[in-house]
Amino acid sequence: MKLSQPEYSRRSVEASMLALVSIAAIWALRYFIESQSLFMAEVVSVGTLVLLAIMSHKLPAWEHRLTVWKPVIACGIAVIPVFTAIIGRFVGQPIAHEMAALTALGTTSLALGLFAQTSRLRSMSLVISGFPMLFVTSISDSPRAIVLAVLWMTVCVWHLVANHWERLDVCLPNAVHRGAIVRPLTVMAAVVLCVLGGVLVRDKFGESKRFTWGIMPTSGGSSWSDPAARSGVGRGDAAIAAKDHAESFGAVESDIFLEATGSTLFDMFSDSLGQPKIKVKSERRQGLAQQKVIESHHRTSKSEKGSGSFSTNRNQPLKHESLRDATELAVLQWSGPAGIRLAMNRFDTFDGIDWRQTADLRKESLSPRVIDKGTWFFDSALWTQAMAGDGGSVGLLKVLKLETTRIPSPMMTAGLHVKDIDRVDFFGIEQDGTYYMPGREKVPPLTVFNLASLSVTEDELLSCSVSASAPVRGTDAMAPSEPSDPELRDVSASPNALTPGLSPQSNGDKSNGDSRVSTQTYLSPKTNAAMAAMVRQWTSGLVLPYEKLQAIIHHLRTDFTLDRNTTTRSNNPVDEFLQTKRGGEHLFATLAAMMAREIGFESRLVTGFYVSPTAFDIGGGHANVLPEDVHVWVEIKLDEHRWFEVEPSPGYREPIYTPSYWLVAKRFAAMNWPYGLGAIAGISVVYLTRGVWIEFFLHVIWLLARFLIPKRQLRVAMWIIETRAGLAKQRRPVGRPQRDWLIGMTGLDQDLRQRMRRFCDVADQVSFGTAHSIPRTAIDDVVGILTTRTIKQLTRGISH
Amino acid sequence: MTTTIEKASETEVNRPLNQLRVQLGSVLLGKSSQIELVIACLLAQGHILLDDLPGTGKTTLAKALAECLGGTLARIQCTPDLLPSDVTGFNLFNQKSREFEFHPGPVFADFLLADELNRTTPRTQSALLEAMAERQVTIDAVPHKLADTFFVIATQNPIDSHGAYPLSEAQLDRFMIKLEIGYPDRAAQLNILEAASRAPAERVKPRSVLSLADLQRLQQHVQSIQVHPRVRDYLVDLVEATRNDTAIQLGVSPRGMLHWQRIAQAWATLQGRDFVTPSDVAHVARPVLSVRLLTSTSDVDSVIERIMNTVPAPEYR
Repeated sequence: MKLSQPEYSRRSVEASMLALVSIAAIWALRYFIESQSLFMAEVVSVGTLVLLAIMSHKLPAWEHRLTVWKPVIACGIAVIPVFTAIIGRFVGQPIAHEMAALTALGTTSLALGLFAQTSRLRSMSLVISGFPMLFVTSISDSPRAIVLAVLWMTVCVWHLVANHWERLDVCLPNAVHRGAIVRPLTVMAAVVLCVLGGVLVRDKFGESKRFTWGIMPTSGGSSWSDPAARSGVGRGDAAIAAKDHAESFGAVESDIFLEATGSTLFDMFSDSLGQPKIKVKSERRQGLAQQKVIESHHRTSKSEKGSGSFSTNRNQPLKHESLRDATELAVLQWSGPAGIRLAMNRFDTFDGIDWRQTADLRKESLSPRVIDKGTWFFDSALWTQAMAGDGGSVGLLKVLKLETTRIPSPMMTAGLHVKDIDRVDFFGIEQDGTYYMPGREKVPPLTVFNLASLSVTEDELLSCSVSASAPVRGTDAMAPSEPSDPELRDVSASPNALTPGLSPQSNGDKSNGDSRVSTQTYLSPKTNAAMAAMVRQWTSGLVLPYEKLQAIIHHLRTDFTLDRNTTTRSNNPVDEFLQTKRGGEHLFATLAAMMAREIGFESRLVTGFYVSPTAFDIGGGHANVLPEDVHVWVEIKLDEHRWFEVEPSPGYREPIYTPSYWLVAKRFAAMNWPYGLGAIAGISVVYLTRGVWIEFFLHVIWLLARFLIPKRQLRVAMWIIETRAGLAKQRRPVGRPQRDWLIGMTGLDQDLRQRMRRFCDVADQVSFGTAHSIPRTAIDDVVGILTTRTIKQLTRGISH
Repeated sequence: MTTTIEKASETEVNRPLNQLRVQLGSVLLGKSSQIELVIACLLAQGHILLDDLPGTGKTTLAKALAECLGGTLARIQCTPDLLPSDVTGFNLFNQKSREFEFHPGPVFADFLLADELNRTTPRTQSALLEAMAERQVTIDAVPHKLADTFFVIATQNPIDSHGAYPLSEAQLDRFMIKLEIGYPDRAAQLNILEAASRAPAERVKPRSVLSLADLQRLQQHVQSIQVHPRVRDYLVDLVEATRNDTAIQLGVSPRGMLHWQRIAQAWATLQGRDFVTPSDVAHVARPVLSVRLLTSTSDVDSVIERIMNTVPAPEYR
């Protein structure tokens, strides 16, 4: 017992570490499938006993007190898993037998590692911890299990080499075959072997997968195969598009305004979604074929101004056969970021069929600011944020043939500027919050607008909270802001929800219809319930409102199919859309807006143009926005004055909200923390064993120095010795000649002193005398003897 | 110098030096490192200042040295009334021959022991300047050559500063090294007692092991010891460090630097080498510097140690 005492630290620590690694592997398996409380109780009790064991070794005060208890602690550590298993059975939360047995093996080896006094018992601990390690690694289905196995093997190799190859390391300096290089070299070889083996079988790492509920993949293949094959029927937008739109490669259909009645701007430019169904018989306006009468274009222009309503109930789009129907003239040109949306009309109230704007956001004048000699007109509400915020961008908009006074602008446009214009009465904000030029028939063609828009970070969106019952913008206009209880809404909805055809025409009298329509709910109870259920399913487990919104948008974009050719059959387009999951972007936008309201956001529908990323004209430096780029999307309220947009329609680029670096870092950390932990553990292990590695590298350097000329070798040798002395905290004072220092370091060891003196004589002769060459053997001798450990021991002898 | 000496250095240089060590060691017990420095100083043609208490064997050492080398020893006891002519000698008018006769003073001996040098007046102290530096004395405008091996051992009493005339810097700079012999250790003291109780016939008597001519040859050999340029750099670095150090008022003069190199050569010879190593320079640094550094603090040793630790020594390469 006395004899093995000094060896306690390293061997016992290594054996215990091996045992701990194997226990960690078993616990990692058990953690996810067992009762947490029982599991934690087991972990804590084993941990406590281990702490007691360590204290009994390390603290002299405790050692005396705990000596008697050592056998008890050892047995306790070993049998705790058995007790836990019995208790688990008793309280009805059983632990699998094999798991309990494996854990018991692990703890037994830990107890042996901590308390074993002979190397035989320690070897036993090694074997016992090795078995569960092997077993757990082979049954585990996590690809990371291999890491623990590799860790265990590395420590094991280290331990074995240390014990069996270097037993005589600290004996007489001459009698020992030196092993400073053997140990790190063996460990490195083992690690390299592991890595090489891993590279060879790397394909198999991801092979074991957890079974999940649902349909088994039948298409086979692996991650290298065609993504379309892997995801099965999935979205298949491309396939459907190719099948249903074979003619899409034909003539561009942009024959417009043929049969518009009460049409909106959207209707004017996009005939691909068809025309609103005509509910009430009204006088039809007859447009003429474009190629025939260009002049009539001007005459029908009155119908090109959007009306106050937007219908989601539509007819089959009209087909245009002739190639000559095509007009390629861009409506407007945009120079700025592509893939964004330019809003023209906004609608905040939905009655089940039609959207309309009820809240009054009208501003007759904007506040002018002079920036760089140009006069800008800012929305006073957004001005402060435009000044405070760091981000923002300015885009150039050139209006070509827009037959309206509205100015298409990106979201959160804070202000606009037209060269040489400083008249306040030229610009205003419409009732729905869109910029316009009052008092005109239309925006003068070829006007170039500078539009400054705010940018918003993803962090802001994430911190955005929803108010369940706050009415929008202080008026009672926004009924769809959430009654949180679906039942309540259904009850309140029932009288009017099934009354179809609250068409714009019938509600022409605004003062009468306003409050009624806006307080009514918008969907039938059945539709509402279906939608609510869908939202609940999609957003389950999510906390932040923005995350829920993202989930909804993601599901809409993946689970639903964009098909502009669908026709509304019933009088409830949204309900139909929910069932067929197929429809135009107006339905996507409407459903997204409704769902956003369901989770508490305030939302509004926006129509306008989509700046297609493919429409960029490199020669002109701008993107051409064509009539068919007319689009519908949704804006969500962020705060009192700012609305951010979301893109529910598949195929359209989603708006980019840049996350802050802090958010990016957090996400990265959340995704990669196991690797980070592993790296930290690895680095700390290397740091703790740094002495061995430095010694190893010095050895390697000395071996490589063989190829230098002898004088250089001498220099390298002295550098190595001085580095080692530095590690042993015996640095040479710069003023001390190396000869005196070396001989002084040998202390009382006469033999060593003689050898050192011989070496110094030769070295002096080479450095300051007449000799030119020094035999390597002479230096080798000194470099071999004066290892860090030897220097430490020698100088310890001196200081005592 | 000549090839014969270099080749035969093993026997011609080391044997007599070893005998000298043994002889001196048998007289001055337990002081081998001081004896080593005294021999080095002798080989380097320098003079030595012993800074010590009375009764530590200064005179014994000087006597033994003279006997070992078969030279004459003169001793002057420096008192305040000692005159320069008592040291150098004087011309006396001989009534018979009707001409001046020169009466050489103690400086014309091979070895001069100047006891308690700091108790005589600066005037008398200065009489030694020329003798020490140029190995000649000029009396009444007539230069008189001294022996080439002329060697001065001066002592001064550090405690007895009352009524003493501290040696001037010019005087100090003429000395190559300053040594403190100090009290012997216990074993040496027992040996001293034991040796003193022997019958006079049994006492060890130093015998001549080296002639003055031999000594001269050895001194010439020492001059020929090789000093590597890097070691010279080191010496200059050290010397400049003493001049630039804030704690030192007076650094090492060029003469001091020459002394330093020479005694380092002598030390290398004593170690049986024919080249000087940085270690040799460092070994003799303390005795060389302690005699000539004028520091603002009283602790000269720590200043020397700081300089020796901070000036980088040339490394093996």
